[in-house]
Amino acid sequence: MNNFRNKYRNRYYQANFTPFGTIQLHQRNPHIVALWSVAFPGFGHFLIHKFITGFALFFWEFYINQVTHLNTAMMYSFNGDIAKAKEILDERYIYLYIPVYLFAIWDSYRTAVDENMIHLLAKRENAKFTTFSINPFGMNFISKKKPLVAFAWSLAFPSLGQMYIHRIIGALLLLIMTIVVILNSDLVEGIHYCMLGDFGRAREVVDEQWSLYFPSIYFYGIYDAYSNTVELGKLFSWEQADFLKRHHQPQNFVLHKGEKI
Amino acid sequence: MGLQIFSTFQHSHYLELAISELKEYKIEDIYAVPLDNRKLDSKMFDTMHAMDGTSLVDTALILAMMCGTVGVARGFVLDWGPVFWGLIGSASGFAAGFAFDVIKTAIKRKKIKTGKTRLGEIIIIVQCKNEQAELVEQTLWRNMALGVAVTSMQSLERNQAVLADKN
Repeated sequence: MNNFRNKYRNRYYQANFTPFGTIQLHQRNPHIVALWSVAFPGFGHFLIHKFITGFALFFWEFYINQVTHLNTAMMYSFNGDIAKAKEILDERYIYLYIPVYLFAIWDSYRTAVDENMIHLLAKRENAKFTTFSINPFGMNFISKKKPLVAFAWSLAFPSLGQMYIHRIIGALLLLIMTIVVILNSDLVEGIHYCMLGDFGRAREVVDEQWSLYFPSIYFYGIYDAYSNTVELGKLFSWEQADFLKRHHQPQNFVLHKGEKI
Repeated sequence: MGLQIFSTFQHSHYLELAISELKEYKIEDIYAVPLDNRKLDSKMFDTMHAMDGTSLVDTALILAMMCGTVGVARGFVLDWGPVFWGLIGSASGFAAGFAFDVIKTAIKRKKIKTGKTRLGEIIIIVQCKNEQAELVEQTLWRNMALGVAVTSMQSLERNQAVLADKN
């Protein structure tokens, strides 16, 4: 059930609120989107709401990375141990990595530029959009959220910030990924030994292949939650102002001068 | 004789609650004026009620991610291990990016001198009878109005007096 039925279909809409998530077009810096694709193919696409492309690229990168031991090779390279890096990389798969990786960067950049234009057109067209929806799977409605709260929850655990602003699909992926990466990398155990001051033991238990996934996932979660909360706030104000202009500016209202009581 | 009650609000669900509540009391003469936002706010950090689109964490998080990854990798060789070096890398990357954005924004803001933080985002004018004034005022205050002013409609009285004279 939607609270809005469109008599004449509009060409572009600024946003949509459904129980499965909030989708909103807004201006983005395409360079930042491309850089998130550099961090992890798929993240750039999640930022611009191309979830299916994002999923495909994400799982592809994940798979290739695992079979070629790319993270481990990165670890050796950053430590200057080039011989070991060469040894561990699987030459059967590594060439497959390059074209898709570059495609992810290029495609997310290009789509971000396109979406910026579409957003401008949608804003100028000023079409009304669904701001409240309810169905057997749940409900969702437009409301203002605090960016710093989203930031803090994402800091505590990736995906919580996305849940706060109802970006369900992104939240689900981040939640699963975080759990899989944390469990496989034994990061929690490593932190435990670091707290105890046993750094040698920590280095032994933490898995280098898996733990290198963590920084990109963690910081992507914060960035995505924070930036989308800011944009949601702007959308809320804009939509409410538009509603007031449409419904609460009667022609017969006359302003009268008088003393303040 | 009636009154006109002016009030300012920020964008929130309270505003719509106030309007719908007044309508339940059969007070229908409501006029809303949403104000345009100032393009550049002097506040550095985004809050729930003031967001200017200037983000200070874009570069910071990218750098945190990059330095964190390198830090974790270096940690496998260095003394403190991957967890602490990852954290150190992330923190220093974030700090560097944040400092970069703060300086960049500060320079940008210096060019456009702005005043204090934004307060009212919407002006709501309610016209009601004298005896309803208290009810309307309380409703507005309860729903987070930033400021409320009750004014008498003296210009209307004068106009009516002039009309009566003519007749």
